[in-house]
Amino acid sequence: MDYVLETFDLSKRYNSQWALKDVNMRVAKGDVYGFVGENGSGKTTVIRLVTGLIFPTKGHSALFGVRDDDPAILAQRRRVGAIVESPSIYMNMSAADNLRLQCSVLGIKEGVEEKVQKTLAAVGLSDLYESKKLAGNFSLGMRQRLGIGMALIGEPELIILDEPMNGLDPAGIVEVRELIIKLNREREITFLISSHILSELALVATKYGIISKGVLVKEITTSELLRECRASVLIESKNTSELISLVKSTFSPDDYTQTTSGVKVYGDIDLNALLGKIISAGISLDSVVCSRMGIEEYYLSLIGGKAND
Amino acid sequence: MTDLLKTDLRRSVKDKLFLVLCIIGGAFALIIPLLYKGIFMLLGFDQETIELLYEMGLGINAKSMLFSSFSLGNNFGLMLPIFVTIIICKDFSGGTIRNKIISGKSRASIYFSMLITTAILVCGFIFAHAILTMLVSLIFFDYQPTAFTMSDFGYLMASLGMELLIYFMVSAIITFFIVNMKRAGLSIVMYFVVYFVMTVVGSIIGAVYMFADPDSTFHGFLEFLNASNAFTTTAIGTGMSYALKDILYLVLPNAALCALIVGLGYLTFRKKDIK
Repeated sequence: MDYVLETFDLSKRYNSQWALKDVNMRVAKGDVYGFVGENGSGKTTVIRLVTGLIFPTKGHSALFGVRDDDPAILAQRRRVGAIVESPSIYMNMSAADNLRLQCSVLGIKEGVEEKVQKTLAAVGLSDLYESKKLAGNFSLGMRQRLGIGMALIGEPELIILDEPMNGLDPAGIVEVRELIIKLNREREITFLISSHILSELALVATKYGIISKGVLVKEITTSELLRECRASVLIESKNTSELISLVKSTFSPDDYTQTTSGVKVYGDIDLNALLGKIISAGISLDSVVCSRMGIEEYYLSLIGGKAND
Repeated sequence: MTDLLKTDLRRSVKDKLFLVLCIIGGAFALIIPLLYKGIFMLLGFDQETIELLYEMGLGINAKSMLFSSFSLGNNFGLMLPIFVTIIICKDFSGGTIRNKIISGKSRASIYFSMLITTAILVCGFIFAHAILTMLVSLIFFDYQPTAFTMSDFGYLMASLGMELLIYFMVSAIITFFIVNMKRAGLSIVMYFVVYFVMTVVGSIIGAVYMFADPDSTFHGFLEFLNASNAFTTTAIGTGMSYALKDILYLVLPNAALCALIVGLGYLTFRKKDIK
């Protein structure tokens, strides 16, 4: 398989604190890789490392098969566009001037104006081509879109977006999400998108990397994730203690959890049989709610606790 | 690196502070000669008195105005590092330096582009300011008490070359602090710490030099230190010609210092984490 980005035991230590420990991740060509973890889990550190902003304490990364300690890595970075933390734009310049300057950084000399126009159109900022409005006066969503435009103008094969939905309103989130889907499908651009909210990525990601406390807990494809998210039945009753006793005698401890007014049973269970057992034991039922485990719950179960947000 | 240099220059010129610097530099160049002329008129000095004062080391003419404008401790010489540091440092404060690294530019090209941009801004502004000051001064004063000859031209060029070296060193110091501190405020503070330390050290060396035995080796060493301190030197543009010793004392140590600062700056930036 063609891997656009790989990391090998990638580790980073700040003073005596390990921010990242032995991260091994793989982003294949065409993936929209959702990189998920709570705040401070190490997502941005990985992104800074693979983009060359910071240097690893241990391990290495590779872009398009070229190791980060190989001088040829510079040419590979040319194939990457990225927003790290916040869009890196000149606030005292217009959107078009920012893109022109990025062309200058990239050494693009031919067809600059056409590229600027096309990029503005791609990120939904066409009306700003001739506008003198400075980026400092843009809304957060406009800045985010301009940032994506800056990453896009060099026609990269991989775009890395660090928390691209941060601070966006719901409409802005939808816009950015649709833009990512469009670029992935139409231009076959591979994406690595970090977020601390898994559900934000649920509609775009084809693969997930879940990181917690500097350790990559799991890499999982979207189809695997959906399989992992188990079905559940919430049963509520006034005879809570009897209900729990019955469930305890029927299921293993991993397959149920107690709630304040009942019990939640996980897995594809035979509901009719279970309910028959409960009724024949004389336990009255208040409610029965069937559902599947949300991906957020799955994520929380993986990182072993509540997310920070 | 040419692409980066073009980018850095383009964004610096587009910065509002660039325009502010142009206005301040131009205003000082106009006001200062005018002020001197006004004072001399108020005091009733004629051209002869002005020339007499110059011979006593107190007077004003276009040549003295030109070289005093280059002083690091003068109005514009003090302001320039502050403004240029803020302009250059915006790449760090705005995070736009990340675009360069992510785009696959080498640390060396980023560092040297930043250094050259700083040097172009610092040297460009100080030279434009000093030459404009001299041109305005020529309206009110002579260039010097004696006629301008070819040897004066040679002396002028050598002096400007030495000023260029000093301001390149200032640029190297500024760049060194910018890439290490990554914040304009801290970089400016560090530059002025260096400036004041060098000025104080220069004054102490100057005082000790005056009282040292003129025939001793120590006196010779102090003379070298005195002449080579770019922050306090008065050797440039105040005479009529240079002895080879003046040039060697000033140029060689400062050229070596420039190379050292640039080298150190690059070595630290090469492995610097950028957040």
